Amino acid sequence: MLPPEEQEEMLQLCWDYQYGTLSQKDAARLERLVLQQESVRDFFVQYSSMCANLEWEGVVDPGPLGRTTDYEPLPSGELNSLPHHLPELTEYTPRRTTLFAVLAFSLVFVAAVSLLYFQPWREQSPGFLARFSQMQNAVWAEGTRSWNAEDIIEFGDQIHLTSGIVELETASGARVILKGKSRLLLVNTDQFQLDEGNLFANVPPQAQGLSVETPTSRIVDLGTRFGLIVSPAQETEVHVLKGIVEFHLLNSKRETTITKKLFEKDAVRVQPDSSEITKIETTPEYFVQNLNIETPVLVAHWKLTEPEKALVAQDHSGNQLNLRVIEEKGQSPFTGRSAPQNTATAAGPFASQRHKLYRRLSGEETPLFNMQRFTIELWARNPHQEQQEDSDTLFHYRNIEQHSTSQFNLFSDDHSGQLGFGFLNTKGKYISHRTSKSISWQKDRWYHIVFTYDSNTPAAHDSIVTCSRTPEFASAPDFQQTLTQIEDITPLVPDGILAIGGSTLSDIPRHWGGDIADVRFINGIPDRHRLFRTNPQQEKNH
Amino acid sequence: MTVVSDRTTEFIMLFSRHSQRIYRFIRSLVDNRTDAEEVYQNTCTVLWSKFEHFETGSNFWAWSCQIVRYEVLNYRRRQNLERNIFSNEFYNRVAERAMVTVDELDRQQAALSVCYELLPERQKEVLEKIYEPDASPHSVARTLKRSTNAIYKTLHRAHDLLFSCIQRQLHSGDYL
Repeated sequence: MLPPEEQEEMLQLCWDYQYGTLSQKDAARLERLVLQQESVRDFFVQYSSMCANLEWEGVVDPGPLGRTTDYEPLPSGELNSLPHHLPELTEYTPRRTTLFAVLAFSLVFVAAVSLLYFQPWREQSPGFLARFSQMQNAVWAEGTRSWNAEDIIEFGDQIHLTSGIVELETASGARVILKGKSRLLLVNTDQFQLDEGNLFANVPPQAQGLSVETPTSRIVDLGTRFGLIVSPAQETEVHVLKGIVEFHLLNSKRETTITKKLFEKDAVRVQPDSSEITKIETTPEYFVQNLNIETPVLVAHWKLTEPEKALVAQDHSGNQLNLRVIEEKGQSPFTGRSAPQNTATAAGPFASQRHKLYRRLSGEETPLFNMQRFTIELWARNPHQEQQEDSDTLFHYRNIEQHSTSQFNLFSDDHSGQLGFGFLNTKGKYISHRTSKSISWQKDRWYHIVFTYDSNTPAAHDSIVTCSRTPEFASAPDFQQTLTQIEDITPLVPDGILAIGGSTLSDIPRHWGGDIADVRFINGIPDRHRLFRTNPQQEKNH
Repeated sequence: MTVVSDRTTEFIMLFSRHSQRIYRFIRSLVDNRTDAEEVYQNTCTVLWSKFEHFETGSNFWAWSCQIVRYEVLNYRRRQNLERNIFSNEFYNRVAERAMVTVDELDRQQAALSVCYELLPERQKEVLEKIYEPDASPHSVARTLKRSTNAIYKTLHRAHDLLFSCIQRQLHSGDYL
C-alpha cells in the first residue's frame, strides 16, 4: 500500500481521470507517478479495475448492483454481451439453433423490459426545467431577482445578469453558460430567449432540439456546442464550435423566412431588420465553455500581524513563503498599526520602497502559483495618491535579471484610484488594464480587495478578470467589475522577486503608501463560502 | 458442422469466463465508461471473428489482451489529440501491469462485494442509480432530487471509501 499522503493524492488523480476532470497538469503528474513507481502503477490499475467492476453489471445486465464472482456457463447477462454481428452460418445444427434461440430470446426480453420499464420512467416529468449549477462573481441587474447556485428556474423566469458568469443546467442535461451582461428568459423546456448577452450551450444527445430565440433568429440545436452573442443593438452572432445547428431567420412576425444548417466552425451574423446572413469567422474564445468548480488551494497567506520592527512576515499557508524586508537599508513596515475587522495589527505604512516585503521565489516555489486561475485577496487603506507619479503597488512579481518590467502587478492608480493590473503575456509583452471607474479611497478606511484571474479555455485571449472592493463593515462591495477577453499570463519565472507594498522598479516611487493586512494568494477561485483545501500542515498552522 | 458448433461453444465458454476481465482491462486503458463500452463491443466482435485463429488449449486471456490493446490503439487514434493525455509508454506500462495482475484483480472483485455492503445507504443508493444503463450524474440528481454537484461529491466519497476498504480487505489476507 502507498503511504497515506500518496494514497490521498492518487485517489484524487484516479477519480479525476476516471470521471473526465483531470487537468493537463494533473495528467502530467499522474503519468510521472505511474511511470516512476510500480506500486503507483498497481494502484492505478486497481482503481480502474474497481470502476470497471462497478460498471460491469450496467454493461452486461441492467438491474441491481449484484456482482457475481463465479462464471456459470451462459448466464443471461453474459449472452447479452456477445458480439452483435456474428458471422452467418451456412448450415444450422440443432444445438446452434438452440443457442441462437436463447440469444434472440434474451435480446427480445431485454428490449421488452426496456420498453416496459425504462420508457415510462424516461417520460416522467422532471422535477425541474432548469437550475443554476455554478456561478462566478455573478452580479444581477438592479430591481431583478438575485439568483443563487441550485436555484430552480421556472417557465417565464427572467435572468438579468450584469456581470460575472453563471451556468444553467437543464433537466435534459444541457449546460448553458451566460457571460457578462445578459438577459435570458426560460420559455419552455429546453427553450430559451436571449434578448442580450453572451451564451454558450453544450448540448448532449439527449437534449437535442434545445432552442434559443434572439430578436432576429431562432437557433435549434442538433447535437452540438455553440455560442450566441446578442449585442445591445440586437445584432445576433451564432458560432458553431462542434456539431450542427439549424438557424432560422425570423421576420417581424416571428415567422421563419430563411432556414440554414450551420456546421462545425461556421459562424454567421444577422443585423436587426435585415434579411441578410453574413458569414463571419468562428471565434471560440468569445465564450466561456467550461466553468469547473474546483476546490481552491491557499498557496500563501501573509497575515502581516508581526510585532513592531519585525523584519520577517510569516507565511501561514504551510508553504513557508515568508517575506522579509530588503537586507540593506530596509525598514520594517511593522509599526503596530490597527488591523481591519478588529483583528491583530496590520503592516504599514509602506512609506517608501525600503518598507516593502519581498521574497525571491526559487524554482521549487514558483510552480506553487497557478497563474492560469488564481485569486489575490487583501485588505488595504490609504494609498499614496498624493505622490501623483504612477501607481501604488499592492502585489508585485518580477525576475529582475530577465524582465525590465513586472511579470505581474496589482496596483491602484495614483490619479484616479482605479484598481489596475499588469502582466507579461505568453509572448513576453507587458499588458496593463485598469478598472473603468475612478475610485475614491476614504481616509483611514480599510477596504477588502479581491482580484481573480481565470484563463478560461486554452485560447490566449479569453481570460476573465474580476476586481472587487468592499469597505470594512460593509455587506456588499462598493465597486466590482469583470473584464473579459484578457490575454493569458505567462507562468512565473523562477528567481523573481515577489513583493508586497512595493515594487522592484525604482524609476519612480511605486510603494503603496498606507497599510496592508491579511494577504492571500489562492490557486483557483473560491466560492462564496470561501472554502479552502488545506493540508494537515496548513491546518496546524491555522 | 460439428467442429464449427464445438468452436462456438468453446468460444462462449471462454468468453464467459473472461468477459469481465476483458472489460476491466479495457477500462484501465480508456478513461470513460461510454468509450470503454464501445471498445468492449468492438473487441467482442473482433474476438469472435478471429476466433478461428485461436489455438484450442492456449491462453485465451493473453490472446484477448493482444486484441484489446490493438482495439484501444485504434480507439485512441480515432480520438482527437486533446483526449490523448498520456504517452504511449504510459499505456504500455499500465497494460503490462493489468495483464499480469489479473488474479489479484479477480480477488479485488470479490472484496468489492464485501466493501459495497459496508457503505452508508445513501452512498449505495447513488451507486446503484449511477451504474444503471444510460445513467448520468444529471439523471441521478433528477431522480434523487439532489444537485449534480452533490451526486458527484457522494460518488467521489463512495469511491474513496470502497477503494480503501478493498485494499484493507486484500491486505488482511482473506482473499489471498
